[in-house]
Amino acid sequence: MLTVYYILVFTFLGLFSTSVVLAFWWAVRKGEFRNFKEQAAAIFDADEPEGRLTDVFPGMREVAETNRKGAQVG
Amino acid sequence: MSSIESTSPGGAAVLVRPATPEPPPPEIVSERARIDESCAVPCLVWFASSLFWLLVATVFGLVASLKLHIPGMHAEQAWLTFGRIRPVHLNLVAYGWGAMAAIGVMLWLMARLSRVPLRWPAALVFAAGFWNLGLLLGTIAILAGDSQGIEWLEFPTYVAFLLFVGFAITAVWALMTFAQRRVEHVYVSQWYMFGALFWFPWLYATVQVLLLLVPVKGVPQAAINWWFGHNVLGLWFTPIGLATAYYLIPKVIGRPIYSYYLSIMGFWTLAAFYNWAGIHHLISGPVPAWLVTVSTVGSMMMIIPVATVAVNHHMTMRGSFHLLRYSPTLRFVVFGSMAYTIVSLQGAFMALRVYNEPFHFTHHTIGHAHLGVYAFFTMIMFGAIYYIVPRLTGREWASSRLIKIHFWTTAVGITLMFLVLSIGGMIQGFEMNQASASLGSLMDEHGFFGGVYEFFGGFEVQNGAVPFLDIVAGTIPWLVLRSLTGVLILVGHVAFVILVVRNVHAWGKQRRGGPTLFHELPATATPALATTTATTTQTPAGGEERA
Ligand code: HEM
Ligand code: HEM
Repeated sequence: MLTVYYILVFTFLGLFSTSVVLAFWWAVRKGEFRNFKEQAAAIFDADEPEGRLTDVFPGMREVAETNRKGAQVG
Repeated sequence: MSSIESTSPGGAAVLVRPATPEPPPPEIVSERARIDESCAVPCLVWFASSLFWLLVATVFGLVASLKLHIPGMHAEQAWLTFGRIRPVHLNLVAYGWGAMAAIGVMLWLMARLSRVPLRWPAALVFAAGFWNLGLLLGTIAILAGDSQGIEWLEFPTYVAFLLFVGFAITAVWALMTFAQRRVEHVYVSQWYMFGALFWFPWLYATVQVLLLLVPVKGVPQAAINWWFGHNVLGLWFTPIGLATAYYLIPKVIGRPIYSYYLSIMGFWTLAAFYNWAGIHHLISGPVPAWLVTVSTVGSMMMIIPVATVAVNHHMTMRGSFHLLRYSPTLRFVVFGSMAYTIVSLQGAFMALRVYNEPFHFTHHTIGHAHLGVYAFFTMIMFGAIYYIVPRLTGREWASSRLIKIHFWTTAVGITLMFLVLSIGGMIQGFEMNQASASLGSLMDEHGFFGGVYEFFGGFEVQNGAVPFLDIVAGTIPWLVLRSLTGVLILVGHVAFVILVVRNVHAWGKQRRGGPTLFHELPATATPALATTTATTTQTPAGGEERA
């Protein structure tokens, strides 16, 4: 029984470690560790660009009103 | 159309009214709308289920809490004894609320970041059915006395099988979505989700085999139990919470992550260190001392990934903290991120023998647990649901007031719960291990401050100086306070469920002028569940109205 456990444990340890190394190697090859600036900006689109707030409490129209008068929020 | 442009010096989003609103390129709007549409049914099913279990689990938590200071309550009913209520609470918050909310958020995030719709969403609804059936059977089993008796794994094996099938389907779907992605780059949130998807089945399968199917004997049982118990928190809930925060904070405020480099480093160091730390749950237990030492080192190493997240989120938010006033999502997510830093730093120190030994068997640990699973993970999931659901249903939240009630009751509730349990637990720990007399008797003798000074000042170990029953009695006021904070949290949860139900069913007066949908949706891409046409039109005031 103990031998079965040893075989199981070490096989899976090996598989686990190999998969982590492979994932890391894949990431390096795909250039995941380069162009950080570009990568950070990947979540923005032309219609939701940097600088646009995408979530506000419902009915916060008065905020827009304030801004219409030239004041900045905050 | 209200629009927020980056005009402040730090690049922080501020709300200004554009002179001439430029229409967004239709292909981008329709792409996002199509993705949201494909997620609508499966994600809402996972969210609705998670909220159902959240309510049930909260009630069980509250009953467990009440029973700790009213021990006679329902004492004659076997199924309502503390030994059954507590594991039901734990399993339902973990696998009912936590995991189901996490999977819903993950599916949406994966589709959005991969820029492809979810394929065959019916399979994901089917998976939720498996998962829900598992939870129902598991809850009945524990209440009927058929618990496995292993913490975090009380559900019987047949339930584990159902959960596993449900999980396997969602994991395959998430990975398939990723494989079909229309962008080359893997965003940091996707890395965290990969980690979670890879680690959870590994952990769950290993522990089922080694503890339940072919159980190991003796001390290794405890070691494996806590390797799992710790990793399910650190390698399943934590990465999904962080993935969500890494997307929503920059996305809501409209500013990229401060340092993408740090975020990636945080992921790989978390992957490298978390797994070592599990045995810190067994400090001073009957396990080899070196194993405990290794886990303490692993826990301290965790300060590195935690610091990367803390610095990154703080610096991203710098100059934008005023936006917390305007965005519900941001409030919950930033609260959660701050709690992540606090709970993890506290945890690292709790892994030191000198901190752990006096407090291990006290309510102090329960305080840390709720700070982690509630103040960090749960609050981030709330924030994510506030962001996602309107995009799936095409409807604005019905009431700002209810959102604020939800935020304040839960934020104040969990903060007080943490404080009450931490302080009460600390006193309990000192009385059990080190104090020369109980805090109450020292206060009677020396006055309030003198008593506190004598109590915490008497550091020499005086095991057994205070009678155990006096210590137990001394915890009661703290436990009563904990129940009160639990009531506050329950009120918040009810408010949240009302909001979601009203949104999904379009019940009650529908709010016009929603900020959540910024642009006109093309007619072909109206979110699936909207019963009204979810198009937005501009108003002269800069707001939006739904026609
Ligand atoms: C969704 C929200 C919640 C989550 C995620 C959560 C999570 C947890 C976790 C992980 C534990 C196990 C702690 C440990 O073993 O160290 C626990 C225990 C417990 N929770 Fe909660 N909880 C939540 C809400 C509540 C609420 C509202 C109450 C009400 C007061 C409550 C009362 C309790 C009690 C009494 C215990 C047992 C503590 C003991 O054994 O001494 N929980 N909870
Ligand atoms: C690196 C960060 C962390 C470290 C080093 C750490 C350390 C610890 C330690 C030493 C304990 C055992 C206390 C005892 O039983 O005496 C513990 C318990 C616990 N921690 Fe953490 N913690 C960390 C982060 C977290 C996070 C992020 C969460 C939530 C997602 C969390 C949730 C919990 C829970 C629920 C328990 C109680 C488990 C139980 O007894 O059932 N911790 N932690």
